[in-house]
Amino acid sequence: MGAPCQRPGASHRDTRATYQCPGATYQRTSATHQPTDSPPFRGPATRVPNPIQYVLGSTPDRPGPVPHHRSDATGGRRLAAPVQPAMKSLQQALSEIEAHRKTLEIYSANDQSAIVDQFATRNVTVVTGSLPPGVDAEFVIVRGPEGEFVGSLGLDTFRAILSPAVHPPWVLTERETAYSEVFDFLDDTLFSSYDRRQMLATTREIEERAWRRGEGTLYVGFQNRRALEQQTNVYETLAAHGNLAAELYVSDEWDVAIGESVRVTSSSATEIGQFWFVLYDGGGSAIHRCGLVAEERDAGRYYGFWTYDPALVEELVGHLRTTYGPE
Amino acid sequence: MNEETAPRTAFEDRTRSSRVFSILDEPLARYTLWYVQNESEVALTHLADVLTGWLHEDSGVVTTVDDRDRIRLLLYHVHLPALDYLGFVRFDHTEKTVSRGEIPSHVQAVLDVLREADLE
Repeated sequence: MGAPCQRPGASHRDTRATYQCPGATYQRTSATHQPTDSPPFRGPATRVPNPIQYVLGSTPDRPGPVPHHRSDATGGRRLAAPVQPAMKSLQQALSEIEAHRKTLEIYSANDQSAIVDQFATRNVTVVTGSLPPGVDAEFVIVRGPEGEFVGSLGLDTFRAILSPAVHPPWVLTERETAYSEVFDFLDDTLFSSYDRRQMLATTREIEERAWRRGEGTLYVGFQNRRALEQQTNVYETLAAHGNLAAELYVSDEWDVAIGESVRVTSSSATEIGQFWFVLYDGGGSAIHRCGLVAEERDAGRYYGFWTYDPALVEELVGHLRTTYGPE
Repeated sequence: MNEETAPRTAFEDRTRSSRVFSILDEPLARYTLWYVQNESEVALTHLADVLTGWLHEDSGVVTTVDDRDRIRLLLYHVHLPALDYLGFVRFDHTEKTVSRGEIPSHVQAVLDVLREADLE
């Protein structure tokens, strides 16, 4: 390090001011993704990877786009099931995600076993730090695989993030927290034992983001007809809001109209029946992309990941559009 | 009259007092003193990590590595050398570690008052 820094005109309490050092100026900068001016995703021009299969297991040389049939909510034929790669490299994919395991370092004078319990099934290690006696500050430091600082936030804010609303988005009020900033360091979070309620809560979180933005497309997969039947009113409402649209995928036959901006693709492809997925393309804004992909391994217990990584969501959406449509 | 024979004691005392109050006015320095008092020795990077989380605890924002780096820079270049000069902490530039120093009782009294205000 060089000569001491000068701190021109900064308030003593302002730790976010600009500091000037010889040869460099240090300013607060945001690590969040910047909005792009690119148009909404219109489908890849070339072959795209198959991220769902990649993350949860696949063979590298899979066939190209498989036959499918999309009904425009009025019913129709159903084509033969496409060839699906074996789900055999799951452990390899999991190991890669495991290698990025993060640590939550909790600082609080109060018992935080609830947070420890909350992360018991997640791909995160929870440890506690210590503050001097009498200090009632509560915060969490997020560390990367090597113990490096990734970010920090107050426990109140953290709890708010970890408690996604279970109710539909249209009755929620605006939250002050900027999700893209908050979730930057929680991209690609793996979970290993979500129950149906937790899955629905995370799904609502993604739908809420789409609802607020009011444009773009939600891509949602249903393991069977019954699962879709229970959610038709949700997607009818969502797709009637602003310029939102919904592309729904179901493994069973479907011939019921849901709404003008809702299309249902019926496919017997293995992954459609196997995974619960919800992806939002951000409506042309990379920072709003998010998604959830999970597999029901045991009855009512889901294993998978949720992500706020724009590139990964774009890849997943590209895979769905290439494989099942719309073109 | 050279520097070694100059009667500087009174001036030094006043300068020292000014330095003490100046440093105690800095939140980063105060939080450093509070934190270090509870630890035998702490690495500079860890101190910067904790102070970043602590100082922004009720701000509602998520801090970034940039925030932490800025605080680490200030600790290294400004606050730790000043606290070390006053003897309040021991700052090992080579090992980049910080440990407790000696805090006079009248300084501790001021710290305690400020602590009430900061942490209430």
